[in-house]
Amino acid sequence: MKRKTLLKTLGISAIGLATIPLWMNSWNAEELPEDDGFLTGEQRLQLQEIVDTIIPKTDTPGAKELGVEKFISLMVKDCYNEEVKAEFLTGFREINLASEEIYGNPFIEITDAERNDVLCTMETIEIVPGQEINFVAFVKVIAIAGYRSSQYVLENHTDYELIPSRFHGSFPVSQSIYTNAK
Amino acid sequence: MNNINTKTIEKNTFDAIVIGSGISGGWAAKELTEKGLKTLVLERGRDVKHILDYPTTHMNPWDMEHRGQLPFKMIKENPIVSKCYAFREDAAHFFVKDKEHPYVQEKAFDWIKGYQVGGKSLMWARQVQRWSDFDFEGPVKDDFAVDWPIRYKDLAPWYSHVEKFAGISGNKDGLEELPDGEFLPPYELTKVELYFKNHVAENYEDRHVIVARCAHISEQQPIHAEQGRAQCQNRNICQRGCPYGGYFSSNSSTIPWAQETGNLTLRPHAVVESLIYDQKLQKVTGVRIIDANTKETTEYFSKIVFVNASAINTNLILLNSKSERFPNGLGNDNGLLGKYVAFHNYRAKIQAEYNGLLDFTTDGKSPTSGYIPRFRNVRKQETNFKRGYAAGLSANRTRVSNTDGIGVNLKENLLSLKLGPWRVGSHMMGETIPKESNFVSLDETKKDAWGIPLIKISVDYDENDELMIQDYFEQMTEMFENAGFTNIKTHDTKQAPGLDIHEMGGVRMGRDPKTSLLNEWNQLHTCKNVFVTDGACMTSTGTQNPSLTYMALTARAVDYAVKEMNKGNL
Repeated sequence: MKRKTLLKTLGISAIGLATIPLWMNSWNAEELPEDDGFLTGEQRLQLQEIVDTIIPKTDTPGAKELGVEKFISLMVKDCYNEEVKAEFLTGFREINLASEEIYGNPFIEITDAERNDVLCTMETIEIVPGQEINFVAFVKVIAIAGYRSSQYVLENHTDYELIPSRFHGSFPVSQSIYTNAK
Repeated sequence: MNNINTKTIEKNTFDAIVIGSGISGGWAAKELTEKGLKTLVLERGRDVKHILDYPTTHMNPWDMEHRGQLPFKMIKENPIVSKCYAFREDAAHFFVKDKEHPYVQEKAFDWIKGYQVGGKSLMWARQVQRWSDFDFEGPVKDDFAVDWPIRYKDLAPWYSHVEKFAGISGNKDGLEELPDGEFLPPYELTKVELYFKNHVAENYEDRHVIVARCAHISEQQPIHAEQGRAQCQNRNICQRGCPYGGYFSSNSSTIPWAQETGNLTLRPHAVVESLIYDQKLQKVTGVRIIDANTKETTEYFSKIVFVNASAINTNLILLNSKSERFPNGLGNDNGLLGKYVAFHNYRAKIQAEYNGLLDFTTDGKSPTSGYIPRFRNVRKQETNFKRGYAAGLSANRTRVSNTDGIGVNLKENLLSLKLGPWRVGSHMMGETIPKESNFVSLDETKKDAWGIPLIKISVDYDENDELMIQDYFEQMTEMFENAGFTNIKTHDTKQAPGLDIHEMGGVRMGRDPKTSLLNEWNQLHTCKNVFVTDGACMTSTGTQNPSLTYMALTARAVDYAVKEMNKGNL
């Protein structure tokens, strides 16, 4: 994937935006999630696939299984200013435009490897003056936060306890569930 | 007077009225009701019942809609309280929103408020260090403010009294500048806090690192069981209210204790307008309140009044209690009411890393951390500024993971958190010098929702504070460097006064009615049946977290007040 091509794609995004998603015809309306008051059903579906690409299902649940896209939608709706929200919403179309440009299909119709490629490339695009966020980098940060603070991850992969009932100030790392970095 | 009025007056008459149910008001209520006085506690906010009214206390991070973060709109609408570290999704409901009780900032001042039964004792940081004579003798020794009318020996038994009941964890460190108390077992320092403690002990004769004393039940005693309070469970989400009563708050401790006596009447939603002064009797006969919701005015009557409305609101109430005898506010013959307000300088922070002792980490959670009692200018003047600072000290392992890229690699990295270097942090708690030019006063035109004048706050840092910040940075950097800490970064937050939430003074204690408002028993010099025992009474600030001293002063003043009443002197 050529970065230049992508930048060119995004450059025309302001005029090239279609109002009806090009991939609509491949989905039944019944399969679409409902509008959640912030994101449309299509955007929610696309966000699901984006978080699934960022933190995929392996032998453990990925971000999609943990419903992280719902968390992202809520966080962006409630915890960010209007400028960030507006850019976030246009990000969905930009992802699709990039996907169309490179692979000839919208984001949810391309393969996992292709999705990974599209997001990786878009994450590296520098923010231009006046722009608030890089959509992919922004979504990734909230996806990581949502994933890490999910019940599944906290209970199964960290030492989180609501009620520790103890404190040891000099605890051997050898007895900890963690190991030293490097 | 007709029959109905007589009945109303009777119904509204008590032996004592306490204004405020926070950390000091709660103590006044407990002590007064225990001594058999029918006591009315007036609280301007809503009732918050222990356990029942802690809606977030059992929540896990994933139970919280925004995982702790507050909505953008909430932060935008509350620029002042949003600066407070504890104003987050789990405890925002215990803080007063900016619009609810406005004030005038003649100089930038972040006034953080908690209007509910329990006040800020629900969300406080629970640090409780005793004062010593190095603090009480500060003003007279260093020539500022006025001499405190009391010394450590006057307060020591009352520190003991409140500590035993509240439950204070600490280590007997044997330091003259930070006297030992009635301690439950101490919490451990972390490995690197301990390392630093030993390092400092070896290199500095006059500097000490200890575990900070905190109001947590580290080991339940019968007196705590009697209150229905259990051992602290190390959850460290205290600001939500503790279902175990593991830390001290009015809600978990003094208020229910006072209720048990049958002598307490708790009146929430009661915004105090003023104290009622009777010219003939030459004393205060009661308190006029405005119902927070109905705006209806009611008068309550009593033999004595304890004003524990929180430092600034106590000033506001007294300034607004005008009468023919006291046209400038109750007890304010000398014009000093509202003046000599001070606070703690919390602007300076320092952070570093330590790459030693990596075979150790921590397990569970500590409700406290390290503490460095004041070491500057204690026994001799050694700097170009007056007084000094205490410092917090904490060291914990960081948890790191690589968040580069996306996909399976990223996921694996997220799931294999590693222990990074120790992160060492410290913050300064500087004594500030009370000055006449740091004051609060009533706005002559602006009023609040209850028709009460807004308070104007005119408080600022001075040159002494700036010099102290520089010294703290220099001394801590040197101590950190010598200990082998790296990547040392100092930071001046430039935060306004107020955000320390340790505002004090305005109704200071002293020996002379010409230069102070309260005597050695926290009694207004010129209106003996009114007592002020919250932060407003403080003549100077010390460096210690002040709540413990308010509690001890309150219990001591109540003891005196009741003895005086029994002698027929009040």
